[in-house]
Amino acid sequence: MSKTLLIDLKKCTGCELCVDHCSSSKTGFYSQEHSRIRILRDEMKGVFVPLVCVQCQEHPCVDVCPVEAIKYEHDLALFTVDKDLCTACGDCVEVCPYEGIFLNAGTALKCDLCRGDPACARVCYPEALQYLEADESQVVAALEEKTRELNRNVRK
Amino acid sequence: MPVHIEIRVYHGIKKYLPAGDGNGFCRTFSLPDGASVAQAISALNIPNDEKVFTLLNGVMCSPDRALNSGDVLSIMQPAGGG
Amino acid sequence: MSRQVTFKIAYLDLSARTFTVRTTSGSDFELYLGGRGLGAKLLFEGQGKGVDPLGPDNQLIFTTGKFGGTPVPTAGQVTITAKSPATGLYFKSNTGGTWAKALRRADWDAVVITGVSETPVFVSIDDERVNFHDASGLWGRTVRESDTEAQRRLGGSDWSFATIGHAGENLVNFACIMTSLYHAAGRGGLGAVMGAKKLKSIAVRGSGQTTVADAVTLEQEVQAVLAKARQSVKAGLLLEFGTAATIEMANEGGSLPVNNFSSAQIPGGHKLGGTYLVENAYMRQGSACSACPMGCHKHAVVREGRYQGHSGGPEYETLASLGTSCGVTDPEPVLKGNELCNDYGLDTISTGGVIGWLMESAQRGLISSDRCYGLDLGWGNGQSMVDLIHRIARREGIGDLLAQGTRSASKALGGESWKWAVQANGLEQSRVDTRVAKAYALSFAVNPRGPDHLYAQPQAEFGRTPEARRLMERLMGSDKYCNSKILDGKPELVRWHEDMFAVTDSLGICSFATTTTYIVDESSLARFIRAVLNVSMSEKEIMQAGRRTVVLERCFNLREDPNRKDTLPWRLMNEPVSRGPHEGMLNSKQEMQVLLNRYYALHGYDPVSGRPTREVLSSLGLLDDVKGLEEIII
Repeated sequence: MSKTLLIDLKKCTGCELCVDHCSSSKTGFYSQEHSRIRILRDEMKGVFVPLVCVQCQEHPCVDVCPVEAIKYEHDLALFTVDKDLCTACGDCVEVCPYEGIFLNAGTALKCDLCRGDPACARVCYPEALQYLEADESQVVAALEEKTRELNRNVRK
Repeated sequence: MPVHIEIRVYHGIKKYLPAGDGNGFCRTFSLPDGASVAQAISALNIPNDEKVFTLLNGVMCSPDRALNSGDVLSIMQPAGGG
Repeated sequence: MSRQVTFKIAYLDLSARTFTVRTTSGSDFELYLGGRGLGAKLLFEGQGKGVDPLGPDNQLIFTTGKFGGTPVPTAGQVTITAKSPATGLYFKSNTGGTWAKALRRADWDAVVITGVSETPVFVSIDDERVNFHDASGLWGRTVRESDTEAQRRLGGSDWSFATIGHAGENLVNFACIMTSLYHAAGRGGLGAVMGAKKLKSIAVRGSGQTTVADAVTLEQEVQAVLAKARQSVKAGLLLEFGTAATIEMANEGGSLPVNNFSSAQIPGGHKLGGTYLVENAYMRQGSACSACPMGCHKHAVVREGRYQGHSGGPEYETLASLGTSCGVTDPEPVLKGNELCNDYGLDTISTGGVIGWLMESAQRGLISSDRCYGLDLGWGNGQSMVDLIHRIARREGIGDLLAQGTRSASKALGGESWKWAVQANGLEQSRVDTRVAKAYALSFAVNPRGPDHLYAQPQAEFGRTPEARRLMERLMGSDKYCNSKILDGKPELVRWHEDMFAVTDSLGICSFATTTTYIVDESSLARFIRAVLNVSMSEKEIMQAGRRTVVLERCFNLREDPNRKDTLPWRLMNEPVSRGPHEGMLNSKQEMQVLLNRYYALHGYDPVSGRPTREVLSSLGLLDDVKGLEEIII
């Protein structure tokens, strides 16, 4: 069984150490715009929702991309964005049900699990983000919770 | 003669208490005569590696202190901050 | 390696509605590290003695630290510095949330506000664009209402706010400034300073990126700190229960202020503790400050009934002030009180302190309840406590007297009410019974803010964790000094904590990391400073920078009021603990003198007056660096 980035929403405190580490693991500096994980913040309720690609089975982003820039990498067993092909049209952002793909600096940005050792999970002390072998029911429950939380929100 | 003490548990230590009455914070416990604080803690099935902080009648004490009937043993984790 | 580190400061004059940029360079980082240290220097140099705290010449200074915007764990803190309307002296206050990170991402280190606006105003800082906005429609609203409306007007969803509520607008002497809705820069009435300037809110957002000298080493050090956090029981408790986890311990251990410090334990007190609040779904995970793994801040909800509502918190101090200090153990009115204090922008410690004082005054027959809206002022009446919070924030009826704080209120009420005004130098004591905790007693007495915990927080004197015992061994050679009732070793402990707390505030991280859990130590800070700034500082130099700030703060107070004494409230120095496991203990004058003598000797201060001498100021480099410091030397 392969590992999943499992998200437990009840545990996210909005510290955003994940956002900064994702950014620096790719670019060397700390910036929300360069991160593949963002936190949707409801300061009023004190509720925080990590937004990141959940590597879903349906992958509507792949199907909608007009230039087939989101491709399957066999050795990683997941889809990644080829930024040389990407035209930053934004269709993938529109269609993603989990708000897990972003546009920045002329390309779409999507989590690639750091190719096996996700930086975000390494810095999540509350264990809202964990990289582990999760069973199907845990993954489904986490996705359903995410969907509920996003629907509750005014952002979309 | 057994000793009857009051035990109050807080924080993560609560989970070791046997399920039972609604007020999980405070209950009477019977121990054999001459039982120590350390023995009371293990009688509650609190494992050795759990970092507990105990007070006996409000003061810190050594784990081998013998218990008397009417003693209040508070078992919690060492908290701090304001 | 050069130690020249630049600080970029936005100077806002609210009278003239102008904004100028100043950049410092030179040795400020090396000498003070920035943050609180920089704030102390700016306050001292930027205004003379005798300034009206509510007037145009009182600076309101917001300083972040150089770690702000980086992932150094807990790097989300801002220090706010000004002369306090409560004490008439130097005051610093810290808070977290997201404001400090936003300011640093906007590429600013500090904001200094002077003047008084003619009409209510709020300020926006959007990267380099600083603007003044009309605050009508925000003025007179709660913190939550104001931030919501200001966000709507500014557009976008990524603003961070520092805002006052009714209390600051009405110049309540213990009004506070709230960041990110629920994080309080409390104590000392800095919210009133902001209100006197007619400044409702400062909104910040920054689109910049933060670059450090060595991100790889920084990540390694972050991992090392996280590993320590995973070993630390205290860090785990902060995550799970917040500071509310301290209530059970203080109550069981007889150090919890009850009924205005007239006793130290209360049956049912555990209902205000973290365990009960979480189990009964009153409290859940809330918002961490930027970059903080421990996320101690919680969110509290009362689902139904007359105390229905929700807010960030509550902290231990709040539970002990609005709760046990008023004899209240029912969590629902206390959570409501917490919510109101957040919305009105009121310091919960002083609020509970002054209400407890009123309750005792009424019970002793000095004030009748018809002067107090007919409220029942017996211990434990949670509804009365809640009602009084509204009156204080709005300065209505008896609230107008209470809004002056216990020192002034007791002078006005007269009789012997000053005896149970549990304050010293104009600040209500934080909720620690110092009669049973001698290092705390000393730290409260010498704290330039007043008798308060956010200056040293010498928890190691209890020796409850391995980290605490290791620190005591390092400082005193043995952990046998981990006994809160003895005097030996406490001055050394307090000095270390004061220096480290100043370092912490100056770098812009949280005291919970460097004190309380002790998971970030001097060597870790040296590695972080090098990784972030490419500056090499020894552990000794880092702690020396903290010491410099502590001494400078003392100098500000001496310039302002040479007669100010290092002391504690009358009750703690004259009334022994009446019952319980610590019956008879007292912060007697003799004990305090022993502690102070040793503390003064350690610092090289004059043994009688406690004043820093010329030698001390010179050897620290303060005399050469701080303009006007010469005048405090006798």
